[in-house]
Amino acid sequence: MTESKPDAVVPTPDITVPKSNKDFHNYDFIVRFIGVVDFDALYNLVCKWMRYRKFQVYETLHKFKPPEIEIDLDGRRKKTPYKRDRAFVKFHMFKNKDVEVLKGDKVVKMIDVRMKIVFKSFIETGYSNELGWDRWNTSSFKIFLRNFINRYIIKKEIDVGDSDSIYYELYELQQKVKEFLEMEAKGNAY
Amino acid sequence: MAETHFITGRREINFEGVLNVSDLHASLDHWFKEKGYDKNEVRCEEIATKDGKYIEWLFEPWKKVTDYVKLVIRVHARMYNITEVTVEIDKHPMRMVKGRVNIMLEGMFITDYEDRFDQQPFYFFIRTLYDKFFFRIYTQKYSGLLIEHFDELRAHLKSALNLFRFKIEH
Repeated sequence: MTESKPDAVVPTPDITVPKSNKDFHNYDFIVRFIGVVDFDALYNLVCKWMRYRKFQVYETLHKFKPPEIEIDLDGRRKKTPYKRDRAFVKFHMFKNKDVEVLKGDKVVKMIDVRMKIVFKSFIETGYSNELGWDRWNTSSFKIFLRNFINRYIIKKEIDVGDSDSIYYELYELQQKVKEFLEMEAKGNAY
Repeated sequence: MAETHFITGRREINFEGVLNVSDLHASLDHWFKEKGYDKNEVRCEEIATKDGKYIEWLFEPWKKVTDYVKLVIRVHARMYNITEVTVEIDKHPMRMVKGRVNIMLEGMFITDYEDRFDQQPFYFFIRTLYDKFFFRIYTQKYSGLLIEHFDELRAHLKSALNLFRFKIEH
């Protein structure tokens, strides 16, 4: 009786490799809106805001399954060869219908949606290059070294300086989005 | 995991009448900034319905008192049937809204928010001993500070909502 060999063997996870502690995350914040919105203009507003602040903007997800539309924007801003800012703006909406609205003399095409916008930010350390190669992930010792640097040496600098600045910058974008959507909770004291 | 101590319990403020939602939001923001809290607007929701707008805010601003303790005040505001009205104040028409407002406040403080004493069960045990017995004075001091801020915030919100009421000429 012959034993059948499996088609694929999934390797067991390597528990000797230490857990990587490379990102400093901030709290996420959400804006939910149900109503009529000019989404093209909103998308342009967010992209231009990020590009003006020297983020490289990548649209990492564009899901169009009517009526569901999901778009993820990933902004990356390099600060040093070791750390960079990451800002995410995720749109998730369900389109009810297309609407034409008369604004002054112009007819503007808008959409009636239920929309959720999520703003996320974090500081990424020891990031990989464009080809996906991460020099800090090549051995256990380098992972340990990165964790040590992040936890003891530059932790305060990132927590107080970089993390806070990207966090409040993203609040500025949130304020602009709320003004664009003509929400009541406009304004930002920070 | 960090330990959360719920100190004040939930307190509600209910209001029905004419108010300025943008001013209310701005005054809340300014109050937290003056007291040294970091902004955390978890959720901001506006839904257009047949009876008017439904607005919901959830704020959880925090203040790191030490590297071990941080204070959090949760503000959950819900506004129903918000419709626009034009109000004349000193012969100047002003845009305001009217509706029903329900604001729920809750204060808590979180110890060991960086999870330094969660690595081993023994550290966790030592942390609990220190929180409850040896450094009880500090725990009570922080809870006193939280209660003070909480009461000030309640009074601030009540006075802001009352102010809107007194602006209207009947």
